[in-house]
Amino acid sequence: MKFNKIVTIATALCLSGLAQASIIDKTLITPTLETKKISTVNNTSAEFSTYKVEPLMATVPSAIASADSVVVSKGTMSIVNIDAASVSDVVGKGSIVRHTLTNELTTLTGNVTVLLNNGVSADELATAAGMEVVSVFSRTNIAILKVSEGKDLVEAYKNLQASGLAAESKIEVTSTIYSAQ
Amino acid sequence: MNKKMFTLSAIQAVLVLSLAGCDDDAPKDIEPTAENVVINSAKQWVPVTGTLLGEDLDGDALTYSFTEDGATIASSNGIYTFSHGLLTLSGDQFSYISTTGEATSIDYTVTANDKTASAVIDITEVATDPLAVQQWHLRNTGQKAYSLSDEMKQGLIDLTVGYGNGTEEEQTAYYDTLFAELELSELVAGEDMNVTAAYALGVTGEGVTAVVVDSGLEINHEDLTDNVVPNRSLNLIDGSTQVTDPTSTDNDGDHGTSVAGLIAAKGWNDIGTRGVAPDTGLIGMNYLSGETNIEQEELLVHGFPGSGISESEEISAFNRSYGITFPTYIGYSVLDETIESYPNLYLRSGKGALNVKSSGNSFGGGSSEGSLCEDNGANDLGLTCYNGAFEPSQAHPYYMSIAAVNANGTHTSYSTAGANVMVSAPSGEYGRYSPAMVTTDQMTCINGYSGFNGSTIAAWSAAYGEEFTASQFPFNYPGHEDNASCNYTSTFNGTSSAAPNASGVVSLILSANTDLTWRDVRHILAATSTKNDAEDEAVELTIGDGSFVAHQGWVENAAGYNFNNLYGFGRVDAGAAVEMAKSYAVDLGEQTITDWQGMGSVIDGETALSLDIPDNDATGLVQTIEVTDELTIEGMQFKFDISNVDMGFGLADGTQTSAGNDLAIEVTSPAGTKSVLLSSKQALFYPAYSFTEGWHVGYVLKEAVFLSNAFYGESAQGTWSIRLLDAGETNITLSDGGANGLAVTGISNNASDSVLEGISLRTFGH
Repeated sequence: MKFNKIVTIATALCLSGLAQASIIDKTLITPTLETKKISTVNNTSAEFSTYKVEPLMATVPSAIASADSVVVSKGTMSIVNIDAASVSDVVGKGSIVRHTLTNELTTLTGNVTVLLNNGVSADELATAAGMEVVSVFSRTNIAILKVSEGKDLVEAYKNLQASGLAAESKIEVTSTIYSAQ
Repeated sequence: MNKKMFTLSAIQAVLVLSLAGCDDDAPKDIEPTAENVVINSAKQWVPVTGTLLGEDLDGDALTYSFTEDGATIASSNGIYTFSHGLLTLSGDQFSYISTTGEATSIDYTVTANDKTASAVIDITEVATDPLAVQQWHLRNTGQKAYSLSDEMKQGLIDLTVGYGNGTEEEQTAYYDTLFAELELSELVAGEDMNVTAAYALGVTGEGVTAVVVDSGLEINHEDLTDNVVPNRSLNLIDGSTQVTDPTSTDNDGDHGTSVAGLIAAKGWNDIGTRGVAPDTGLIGMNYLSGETNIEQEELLVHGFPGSGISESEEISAFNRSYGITFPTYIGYSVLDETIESYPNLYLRSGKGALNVKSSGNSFGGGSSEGSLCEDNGANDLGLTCYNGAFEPSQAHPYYMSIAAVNANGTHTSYSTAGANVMVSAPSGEYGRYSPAMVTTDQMTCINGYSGFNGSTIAAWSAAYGEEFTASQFPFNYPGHEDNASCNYTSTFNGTSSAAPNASGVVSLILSANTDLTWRDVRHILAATSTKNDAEDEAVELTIGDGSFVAHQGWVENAAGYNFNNLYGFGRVDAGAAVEMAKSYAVDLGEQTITDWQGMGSVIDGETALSLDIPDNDATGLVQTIEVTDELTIEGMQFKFDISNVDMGFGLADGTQTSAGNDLAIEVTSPAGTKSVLLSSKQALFYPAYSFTEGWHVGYVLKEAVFLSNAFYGESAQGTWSIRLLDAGETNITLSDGGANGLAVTGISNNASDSVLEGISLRTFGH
């Protein structure tokens, strides 16, 4: 993308000869001003929270990932396509999801960050949602819950929301939605 | 002895006796003396004091004068200005500030009763940072910071002539004129953060630590390592074995390493650059690594337990040069506010650390809205395409949004504006036609923005060839004598740079006075920042038969604070801020946050309003909210639900509704101060979004919270008036031809009026 812009500039220079400084400077993209590029229509409906589950994908170490199957590489780990026979029926830690705003793929940690309603304990909420307590930060009313082994996070998240015990909750993933600006 | 000889001796004796008798009546004046003064250790930009060694044994009054290369240096306002530094004198006590960092000798003369003696002040060693003289944001002398270089000019001449456009003479004349004009307009001495005044007060950032939450931090960088707090950084990548080393493994530039250098590159080590707070500690966290990160990282980067940051530690700032750029309004999250406020409310033993956030680089536009802001007039009018408040983290006072200014003191081409902006700081343009930041870069010419693999260097080399690229980026291209190891860059910019420069000033403030709270720091910044670009003009739009001021320029509020949506309270002034910090006597009292107050769907238990916002009408829909609390404002939040039935992912005819594009919001305080929350012609291109619920199809704004700092210091009590406008009858063909996120080819005027369903406000104050 950057290369294309530069080629465009080169062409403009050829044609105009005397390109204006301000135009050149505004057009050239430096690394510090890059933002995430959105190339497709992002009207995907979320299956839970802001995510759509990608059951036919999984995370594997980049070192053992087949080049043909790699969807996106994230340093030492890669998200790869898997065959239907390998698909798990349960959504949980390690499942791949797509963010409905950025369209980017990321991995579930299996955790949910919650803001407890006043007077509600993390244990109370965990019980209601069929989850386990990971951490409690009592002064802030924030708790981290995780889905129990073998249990489905989508289901647990629905239970959590239906409980009415949390003021707000957020699915935890392994990468941030933010980028340098 | 013969008679003649005796007679002569006798006369001599009489003469001697006679002269001796004269001495008793009129004593002989003794000439003054002067001795050399030796200063063995000084620091560039930091005052060093001494005593001039003039003496007059018979007590005559002494006066001192100075020369340089034989020419007398006159005092102006008590300051003697040399080519190498500034000297002030009080009696025989002098204070000298080396501006250039050179060892030098200053000739001085002492005069007593018209008799003189001379000696020198020998400053044998001045610790410096060789690139500091190019760091215009610290001390702007009109330096180029490697922009507008002769190599660049010649490269452009050669390229243009090579393409067959004009002769060498014609192009030389053109570029000579262009560069001369740019040097006049872009390089303005004095447009800086006045850090030398802070250093003159003896404050260099010692005793506090800044946390760089970013892509990484090269903890062994030659110019950072002395300030990096050992074993305190976090590598957040899952499975990492080097858990306290967030050094990036990318080789084309590490954003965080450059950010860290702006805050606290070690000062006066005779290496590289100087941070704003050259003695402040650094901790890095690679939140933006792009890799698979560990659980609970969002809490860790806010200093929650487990981050290694104790609640009593003197953390000055969490620098956050990151954000999200998407053309929609992302709804407010109480959970996120709770996480993001943790440093303010719980660290530094409750006094709080500051979150310092880049306001964004989308003044001209982002990406997914395509050519919207070129075609709707925002770019030409000088209106911001994105609003800082599109990001919910910038809608509360716990994050301090920092805008970016240039080396001539004006707005950068990219800095996102909004009423949420707190202050601004230097960052510059792209380092070619106008200076950018000179800061640290990944070490060696193998890694980093400077060097063979820098993304810009590599792309330009592929497009234009290495020779031209070297001419355009002389400092970053391998081989520059000032950057032999490519450990520094001269092209870092963005609000990514403005934020760490502000973090550096925050660190100086808290270093000067560790008793201050996070709210005191905000107060100091509001009170001391410089009203830069004082002539910034308002932008008025015609709407139907009326008009609307979409950008106000500078506004003085009823409490006397100057505010501008481009700059907040202005460019940070380190000297003034530190001076105020050292003698701080303001008591802000306990922070009070009111409940949300208003009507409709944004108030729990209330039903939605259904109030039309008339199309293309300057009168708009005006709502008032009465506030009874007697509070002095530190920040005002406004929340809205505004629907439009057509606000989705495009209309059936392949265009998008203008409902988002046309929406404008103006608030008037009880004291009469106006603040523009939305100017219209902003990139509300997609329907509203929520980080917890996803898309809100049918809504322009949903649980949308705006922060305005414009009312700082005013009373919240009284009637607040909120005007909601549909600012146009907009029908636009998008010049991108559908190359945007919605694949729409135009904007069609909204067929139905937008509807206000809920409106409320909340006061942060005391």
